[in-house]
Amino acid sequence: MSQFSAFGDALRQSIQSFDYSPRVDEYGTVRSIMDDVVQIDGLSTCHYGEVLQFDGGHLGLALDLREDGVGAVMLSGATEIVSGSFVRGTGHVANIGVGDSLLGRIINPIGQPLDGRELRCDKFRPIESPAPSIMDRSPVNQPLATGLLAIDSMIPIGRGQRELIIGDRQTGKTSIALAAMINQRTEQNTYCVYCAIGQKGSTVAQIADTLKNAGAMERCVIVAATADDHASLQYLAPYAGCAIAEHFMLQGKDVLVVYDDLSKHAAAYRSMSLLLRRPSGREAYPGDVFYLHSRLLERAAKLSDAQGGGSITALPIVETMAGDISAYIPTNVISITDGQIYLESELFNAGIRPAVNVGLSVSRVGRAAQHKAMKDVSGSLRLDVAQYRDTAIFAQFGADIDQSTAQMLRHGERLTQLLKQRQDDVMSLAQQVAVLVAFDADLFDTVAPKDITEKRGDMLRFLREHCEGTMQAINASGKLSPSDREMLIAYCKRFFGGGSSAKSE
Amino acid sequence: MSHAILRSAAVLDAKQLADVETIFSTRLKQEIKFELMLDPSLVGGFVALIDGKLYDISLAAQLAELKKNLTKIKMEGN
Repeated sequence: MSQFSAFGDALRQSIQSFDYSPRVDEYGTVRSIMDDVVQIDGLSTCHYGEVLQFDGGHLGLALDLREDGVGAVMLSGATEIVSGSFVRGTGHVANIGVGDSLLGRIINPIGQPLDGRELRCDKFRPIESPAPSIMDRSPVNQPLATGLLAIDSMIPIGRGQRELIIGDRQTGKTSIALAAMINQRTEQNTYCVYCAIGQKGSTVAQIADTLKNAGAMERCVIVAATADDHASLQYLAPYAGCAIAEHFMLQGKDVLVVYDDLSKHAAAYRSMSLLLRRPSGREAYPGDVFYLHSRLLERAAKLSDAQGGGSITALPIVETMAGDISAYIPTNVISITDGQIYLESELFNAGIRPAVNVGLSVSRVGRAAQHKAMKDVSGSLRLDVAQYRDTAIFAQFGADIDQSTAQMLRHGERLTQLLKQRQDDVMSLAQQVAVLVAFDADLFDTVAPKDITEKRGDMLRFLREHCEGTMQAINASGKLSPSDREMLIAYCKRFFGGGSSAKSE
Repeated sequence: MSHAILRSAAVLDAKQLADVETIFSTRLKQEIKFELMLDPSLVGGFVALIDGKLYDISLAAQLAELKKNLTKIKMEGN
């Protein structure tokens, strides 16, 4: 009750002390509007990137300053603006609310909640801001576990890295990003931001649902500009997501940002640029489409300890057409990022998921950040997989093969099966190490390829029951001592030797 | 003489208009003749548009400002 009266007092005081001094703003008038691009007369002192206010409270963004006027994009309500409408400058650039109140929420790129609940933010950050300087950065030296064996062992990602996920439609690009986000649920200091750019509304709902069911949504923010949103919102979405992530990074947190996907982002920017009458270049993209993505991805960083040691790890996604990674946007983003995970529809259709093409996938800085234990057991894995895939194609023709090749094929087939994994079935470091140790000791060779996934699950369950301590020690230290290795092999042997009797122990 | 528009929430009579014009003419040290426009969305008061500058003395703007102030209130302990 007393709280109510105190609140009443505060309200009364605020109303009584309210003093309005008339505002003097710049104004202009709308000359023409095409889709959501508006040409405005007047507004001579408008800044680049300034938010404009139209009649009816609708907002726009000034992106083109000329001598005789301003070109702007509408952020909302484009249908209500008519030629002759008044526009005024607000004097500030586009901001977005940041902070802990965003966790678990779905918002649009201008900070309005999309999940039907009220949202309050105390702090705001400009959507566009400069990337951390060279002196503020430190080299990538901590791993970011995705929980996927194929990624963590062969294409490791470090905190602060930018790793592109590239592939045709329907090859599991988003699934990899989702697995990585789900796997962060146990990391105390890590948050995730998922930027949906030009996605279907149903897809975004599904992603939110998956995260919720996996218990990872409390640490995630979803910034969504769906396919029916203005091109301007789709253009802003990744920058808004990055601004939210930067706020967390500056507090010393590690943030994983997924941009899904940058091909649609480039297309949205292209349609805006064409309507703004900017000169077009290759594939009708404007000249600054490279800078569009490079300035976004430069904002991913690992900060030095003096700056709090936070990080932003970026997982941009790019969709290719018919496997063509030499198209304009894919080559641009490949050259900006620190490596790529290349997914192939052939592998995907053959049931190998994640459908990673090991030969074309690289991680340029991740090795340095990999845990010692993983480094020890995954050394020749890439080579094994690549060699197996080459030989397997050859062996399809029914050529006579010698014994060592047959053995290599048998081994490789099982390895391929071992690397299959569902997005919600993420593995800890120790579990991944245990699987690779058991594989290295040829223990899986006796198992039929179709039973491998099940056997792997059974083995991990067996290990959890019988040598929990060793597993925890590996997870904690990130190292695999020779005695731990012996212990793991012994227990795995007991599991494979004992078969069903081992389970009853 | 400069181009000037006066958007008001209600219709102004000749005396009111003359008063407003005199105020702006003396303040801006130039002769102002307003072209009138009716805009009920302003709730009350008027908005003067003169040479690319906008003088907002409408009730709608004051209410918006008040709303902004009221939502800023934070209570201790919750």
